[in-house]
Amino acid sequence: MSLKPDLSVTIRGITFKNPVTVASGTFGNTDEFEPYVNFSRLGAFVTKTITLRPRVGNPMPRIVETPSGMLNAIGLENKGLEDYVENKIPYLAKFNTRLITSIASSNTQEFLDMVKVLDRQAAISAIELNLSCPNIRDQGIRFAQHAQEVGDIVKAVRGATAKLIFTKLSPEMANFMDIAEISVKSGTDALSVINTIKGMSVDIHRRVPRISNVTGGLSGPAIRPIALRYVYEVKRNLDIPVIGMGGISTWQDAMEFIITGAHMVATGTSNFVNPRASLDVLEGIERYLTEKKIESIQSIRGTLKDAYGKKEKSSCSPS
Amino acid sequence: MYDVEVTVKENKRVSEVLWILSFRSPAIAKKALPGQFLQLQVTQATDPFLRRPFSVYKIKRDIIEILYEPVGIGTRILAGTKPGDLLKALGPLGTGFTPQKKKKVLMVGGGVGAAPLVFMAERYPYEKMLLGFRGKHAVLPKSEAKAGERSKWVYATNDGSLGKKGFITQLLEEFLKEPDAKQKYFLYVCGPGPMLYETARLAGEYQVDGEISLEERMGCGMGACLGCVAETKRGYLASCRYGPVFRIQDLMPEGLQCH
Repeated sequence: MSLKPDLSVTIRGITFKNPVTVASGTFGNTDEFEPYVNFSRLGAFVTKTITLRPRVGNPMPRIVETPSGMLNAIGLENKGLEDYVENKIPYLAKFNTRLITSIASSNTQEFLDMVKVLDRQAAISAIELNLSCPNIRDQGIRFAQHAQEVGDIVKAVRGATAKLIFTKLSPEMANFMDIAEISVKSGTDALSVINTIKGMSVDIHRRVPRISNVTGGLSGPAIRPIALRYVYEVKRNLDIPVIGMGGISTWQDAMEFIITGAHMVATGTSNFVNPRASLDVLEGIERYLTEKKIESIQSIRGTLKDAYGKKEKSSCSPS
Repeated sequence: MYDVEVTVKENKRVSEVLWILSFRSPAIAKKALPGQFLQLQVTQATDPFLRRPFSVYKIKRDIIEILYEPVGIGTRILAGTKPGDLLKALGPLGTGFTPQKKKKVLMVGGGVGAAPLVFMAERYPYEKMLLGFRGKHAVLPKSEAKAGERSKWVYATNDGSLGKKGFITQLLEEFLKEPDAKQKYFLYVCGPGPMLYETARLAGEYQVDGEISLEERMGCGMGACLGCVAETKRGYLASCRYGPVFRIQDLMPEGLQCH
């Protein structure tokens, strides 16, 4: 009989029972997926981005299907921090999984105000800073473009909480690697790589954009190779845990990210097509490790070789 | 809610543009209510990527029927499926129509929007089934009505090739003009945006109560992506979770137009 592989991952001393989580905004905020997924089996549950005050979001149409993916411009519709703390956390706290709360804001002070409230919530293990939602046209939410600005936000938040901080980045950010580096220097515990990439689709009969915001964030298998490349870039240059996401639909997809160096992996838009995608990925990873007699997820993480099968030189230390 | 792999039993054309696909699922068949829908995955490939929402059209014992018109990439794939092919079906999802005890029901449907109304008509009494189509070629044949109820089905076609020439809402207004219409009638409505808009306008004018099933493009069908929100008097609500059936009075008319 083969032993079960150790799937646990540790980020700054906090242990997650397995490396599988969900991407913010693709798994609802409470019970949307309860009929299909036992949340207690997930490594972590990441909720849809909340803001300090409620936001109504963008007008319809908000989504459009594209080849092997979709564009969305929901506009961060959410009921705000107070509703989240009062109504969402008590429900989510019932499950034996780690809760990660995704937040967005317009300025450092508001980020701080939110983090101070969330810091008092024992049920929350990590706060994910969504600094890269591409779908906001008003001035309400900052799409962080400048490394200095990102550094300031991360540093301020770092000073306000001992909980884990994940910083979510998008290839839309100019100087992606500079921003990744300053996030690390400012004290983020991990990077969530990647957010969606801006795209567009036109109805040629009516000659109108297919979503009201004109552009939207592209997600799904179409962006997976791009996401993987960014995980690779980060792991090659920085010593920081990465939550890999972007088009992950199957366990094979997830293993590409883990071998490239990701600590955790998130299913995103694939949850919409297969509500059980996260658990399918988890079960597949476990099977893969068992069949290959690999004792732990940690021992395969970041073991990418060069194209000739030799060990790749990398600055990232095995952790 | 179930997510099941199902085997196509039959896939037949019932008019020049309308098709009926059937498959067996005892679990869904037992649970589905008229007005609820299923998210069908029509391919194992990633393109097209999303599932497609379809109202349940009929349930015959443990067989589910879906009414569709091949217009886009997903429905064209569906038209190509053969008995024995596999699909994935998630559901039943959303809200159903509210059965009426006192009022007489007028069904108002346009095109493939007839689907949830026919399912309601299979289970509950109704006064008339008012159906609008582009032309004779696009009509859902009366042979689809329950035995003895063909005379309740009334057509309007845009080109006048069958039934009344014009819009089905013109036929509806004749009923709504009856002096006691407000106390007498309740509407179940499903169809294209302009039809919904006009029906909602008439319902307001004649103060007749009713419910609309919105045929919104959906992402997840579970209330997570917020890609299918309806404009309601309570703000945006995901039509997959809080609908697709809404009370007419709860919807903002402007939101109906662009359906």
